[in-house]
Amino acid sequence: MLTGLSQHVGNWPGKTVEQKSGDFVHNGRRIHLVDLPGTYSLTANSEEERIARDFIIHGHPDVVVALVNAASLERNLYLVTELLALPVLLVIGLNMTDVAEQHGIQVEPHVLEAALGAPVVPLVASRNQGLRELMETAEQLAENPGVFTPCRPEIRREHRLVLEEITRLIAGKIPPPYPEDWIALKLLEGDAEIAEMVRRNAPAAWPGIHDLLMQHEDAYLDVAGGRYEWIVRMVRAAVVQPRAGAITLTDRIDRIATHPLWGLLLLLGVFGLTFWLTYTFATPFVEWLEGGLLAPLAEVTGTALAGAPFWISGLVVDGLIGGAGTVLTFLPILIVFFAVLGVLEDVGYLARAAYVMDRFMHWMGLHGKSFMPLFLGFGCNVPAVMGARIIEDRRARLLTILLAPLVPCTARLAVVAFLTPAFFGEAATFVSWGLVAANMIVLAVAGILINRLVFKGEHAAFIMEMPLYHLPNLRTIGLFVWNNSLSFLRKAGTLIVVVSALVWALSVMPGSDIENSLLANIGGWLEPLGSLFGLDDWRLIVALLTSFVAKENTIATLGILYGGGEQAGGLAGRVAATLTPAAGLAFLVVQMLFIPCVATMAVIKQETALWRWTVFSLVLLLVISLGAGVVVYQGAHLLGWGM
Amino acid sequence: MLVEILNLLAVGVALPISKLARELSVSEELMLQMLTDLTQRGYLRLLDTVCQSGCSTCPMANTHAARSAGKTWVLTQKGARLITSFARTTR
Repeated sequence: MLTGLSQHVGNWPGKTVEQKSGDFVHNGRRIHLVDLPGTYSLTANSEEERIARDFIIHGHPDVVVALVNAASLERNLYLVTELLALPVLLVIGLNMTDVAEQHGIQVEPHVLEAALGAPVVPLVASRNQGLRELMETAEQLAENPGVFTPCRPEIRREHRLVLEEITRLIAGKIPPPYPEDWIALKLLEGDAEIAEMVRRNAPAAWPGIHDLLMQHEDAYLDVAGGRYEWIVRMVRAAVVQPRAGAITLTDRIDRIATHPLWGLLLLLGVFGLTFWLTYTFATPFVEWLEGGLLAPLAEVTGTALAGAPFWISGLVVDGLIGGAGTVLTFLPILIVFFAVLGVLEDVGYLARAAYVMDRFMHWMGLHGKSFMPLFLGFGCNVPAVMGARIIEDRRARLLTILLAPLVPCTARLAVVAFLTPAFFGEAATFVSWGLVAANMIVLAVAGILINRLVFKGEHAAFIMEMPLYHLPNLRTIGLFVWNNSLSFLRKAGTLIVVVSALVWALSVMPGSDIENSLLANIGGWLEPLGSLFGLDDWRLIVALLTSFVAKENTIATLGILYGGGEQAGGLAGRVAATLTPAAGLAFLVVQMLFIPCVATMAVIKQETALWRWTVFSLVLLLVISLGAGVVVYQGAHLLGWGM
Repeated sequence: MLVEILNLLAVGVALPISKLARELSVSEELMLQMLTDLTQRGYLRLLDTVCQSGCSTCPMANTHAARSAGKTWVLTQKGARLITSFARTTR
């Protein structure tokens, strides 16, 4: 805009970055203008930064004009702090003042100018406003450099002395036009390119400089920290009205959502509400799918395949429809889970839940860094185990991996949501909520023991970016529910179909009598163990075992062994009829704490790189789950409840 | 100011950026810039909380709650060493 048609466009010598320059006449004087690449600092991290700083040092510009975005002043002022360290005359072009005002930010150019000690010219470059004034200011500064008295960021005395010492050591050894005090500052900041240049040009002084830099490795924090403090001072002085509005609303909600007590109670309430919504909205659909769709489908298919060999009709009706088909009926449960999770995620609540849980886990003695991967476990244990990579200490990482399967994944929760209403009727919401709480308590107790024995009480902090609260976007949530439901259907159509077929085959071999089948034999061996927690029926034990392939297989196996959709009463109801309430509760407790699916175990092996730890995890979870089942059942027996 | 951020982390609990920004009386935007700076210098590490692989057999692979937590930074060993040395100096 300033140079009109006389603009020259090319590349910087030896670089791929575009160079734009041009000449124009202003007040009868020919001015050569060079547009440097846009950058936020001069630390030589990128080609753009290197080009900008090399040109300012080697090009000897009469005046440097820094165009800063008024709507993002803090971010842009860092470059100004670096320019002030160079021996150049600087004019600030305060651009996009219109956008800043639209965002409620009012920058006072005169106040900023006084605070900076450098001329500031407000601009709206896109509308050609203020450009003439900018040129005049730059010209006046070039003619009268004495008025340029910038206020520069400060460095603590300790590092100021180091800076002086480095400046003394490099005096007379640095090739012109590099300013020696700037070189010393860059060395203190740890600039690798400058360090290499000094090492080459001042080989005798370098060992001394290097020692000093090693002793003051933290100097960068002081230098950069001083710049940020300077930015805060400038902004406080010149910005009249910082942004408010949405942040205030978020802050107000967060007073409750992130409060140590209220936040935790809110989180527990959210868990409870999730289960209540699931039972209220999903259970009627599950019952309809079972009675209204699956049962007629099994009947029609059975009739159609009446003349077919036994293994075909049995496999299709009992194995596939009764097994994999039953798993499909809890799709409504998952849809409600995903919808609730999607809403919580989209409104920005889950980040607060993570924060509140972290504090809670600290009370319980768990390691802070362990929280993030463990939280992922509510979705799926696989990313939870993999997420433990963020923990640097090997022992801490290992123990987080061991704890991760204790977080109930959505598949486990769906199995519980499917069975609990039939087992406990009206109390299903509270029982489900209690089962999740029980898992958390087991995890916390294990965490306390681990923390005491291994971490020695060490706590590590982390910083979280909390998104602003906003209204949920129906499309985003719809997509979230759709993608997850589709993944579930894909799994039901592959892995669960295969397991269902296998379970059915084992349940009819060697003859068609299920009680004498291979599966009954396997289950029968384990019946004495199951009877300790009230599971006298081998079918429940086999259902638990098949959940090792995928958690949903518990339902598929129960569907096959208790009769598929063609029978009345609903699968959960038929299972509940064979169990006492105490045994039902023990079964659900074991299901929630049982060994994770094979995918999780495979990832445990991959992440620990040792079979020893994979087997240890398997044994640990077996002991915990079966032990908890025995405690619940025998405890109920002692109290005389639900027998 | 960067030293103060690291010192606040020494307490050992999770800190939301908003709280950290309030403690230091700066905007969240500037706080993000400082965290990026500390990350580039190796004092903090930006966590990759999004699952990248290993979920092929999991039907809940898309259910990663931490996606909504935005960015998360943890202290590195270099950062922890520095905090310890500050604590020694203060004592």
